[in-house]
Amino acid sequence: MTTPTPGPTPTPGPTPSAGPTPTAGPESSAGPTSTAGDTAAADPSGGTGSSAVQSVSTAPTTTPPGPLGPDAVTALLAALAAEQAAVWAYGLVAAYARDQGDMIAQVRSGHLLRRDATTARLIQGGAAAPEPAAAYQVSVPVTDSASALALAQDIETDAAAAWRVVIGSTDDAELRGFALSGLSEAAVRLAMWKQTVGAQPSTVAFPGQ
Amino acid sequence: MAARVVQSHARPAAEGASRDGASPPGCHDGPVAIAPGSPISRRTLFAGAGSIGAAALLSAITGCSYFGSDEPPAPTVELNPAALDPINGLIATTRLHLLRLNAAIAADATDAPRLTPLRDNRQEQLTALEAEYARVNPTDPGATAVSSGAETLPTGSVTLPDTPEAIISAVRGDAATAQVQFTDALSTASRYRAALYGSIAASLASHRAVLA
Repeated sequence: MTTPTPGPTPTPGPTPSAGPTPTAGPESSAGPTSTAGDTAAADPSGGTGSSAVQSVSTAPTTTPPGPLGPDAVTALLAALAAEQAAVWAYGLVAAYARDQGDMIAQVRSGHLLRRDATTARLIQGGAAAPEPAAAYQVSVPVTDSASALALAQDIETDAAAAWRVVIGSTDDAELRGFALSGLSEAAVRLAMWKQTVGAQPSTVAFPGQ
Repeated sequence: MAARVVQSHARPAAEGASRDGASPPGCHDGPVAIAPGSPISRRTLFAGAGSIGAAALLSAITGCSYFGSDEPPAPTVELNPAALDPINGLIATTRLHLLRLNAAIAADATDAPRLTPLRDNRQEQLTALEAEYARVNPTDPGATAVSSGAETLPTGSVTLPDTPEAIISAVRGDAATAQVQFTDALSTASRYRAALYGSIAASLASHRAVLA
């Protein structure tokens, strides 16, 4: 898949067609006050269990993050929206793909860290980070395990596309490294889900494109 | 330096010849004629010949000449921007790893179904990298084939380990090496290339996960 597919679409309010609407959990209150950015940047595996990404895609942190340009802010806001939608949507996936509970929990935790790191990065760069929406409308109706895992692939495809745009929207090496972590995590998770459902090929040449 | 010495040594003869017959104080050569047909004294002739000989000798020894300067010669290096394009290293690495993947698929039939999609990914990446090189270096004759859409297939032979486990490990190591290279190239690349490199690095991360 080389083009981003429409995944969870943020809506300003609750949507009746979004299936089980998750209640606001502890992670939803992280918001702009979260300071978990450094943690996620130093742990790009994001709880996926893959140490391969962790060792080589760590963002360089020799210099503190500087102010963000307008292009970078726009791209980071889109990436934050994708991560916020992913956190919400994996709650929906977990409700139907119960046999993948452990893996879903790890992946959701990774998106949670990434979301908070992105929020922190926006604030450090002088931008405002919006709160997540109360609910999101998904691209496909989730009725069983198969559709739930298809949604999981859409989530990762969307996240990869968002982080790829961040890389191409800035000249800041630190921010590029940060975005590369998000892109690599999404690519690895997408391959994992494809392997889980037996899809071939399980990898793509250009994740996020 | 030597040229200045030669010039100062040769000057008296020239000055003496330009005085229109007026003898310098203390000079016993008599009038030096400059008019056509006028005689030249033997001393003046020998002095001039000696100066020219000394200048030629010094010039041969020191490498200097009247027409040169004391400054060292400026190097004339022809820069080839295409050869300096950092994408060349990434293309070379991708070509090599593609060769090794082809060899691994041929040597390890059991893992061939798992490796073939990865090989296809790397081939797509190589094509994209070569197209990017051709876009930035349109005058390079080596890039014309790529820009015309022709797919380049690397040729050559490589050596792989004997056991399937070692082959998979080698392929996984190749992916790790390439991932580091593309990640390192990310920081100084243009925005378009950074997005391309980042996408390839992420793909290589997924390759490692699949092979783990």
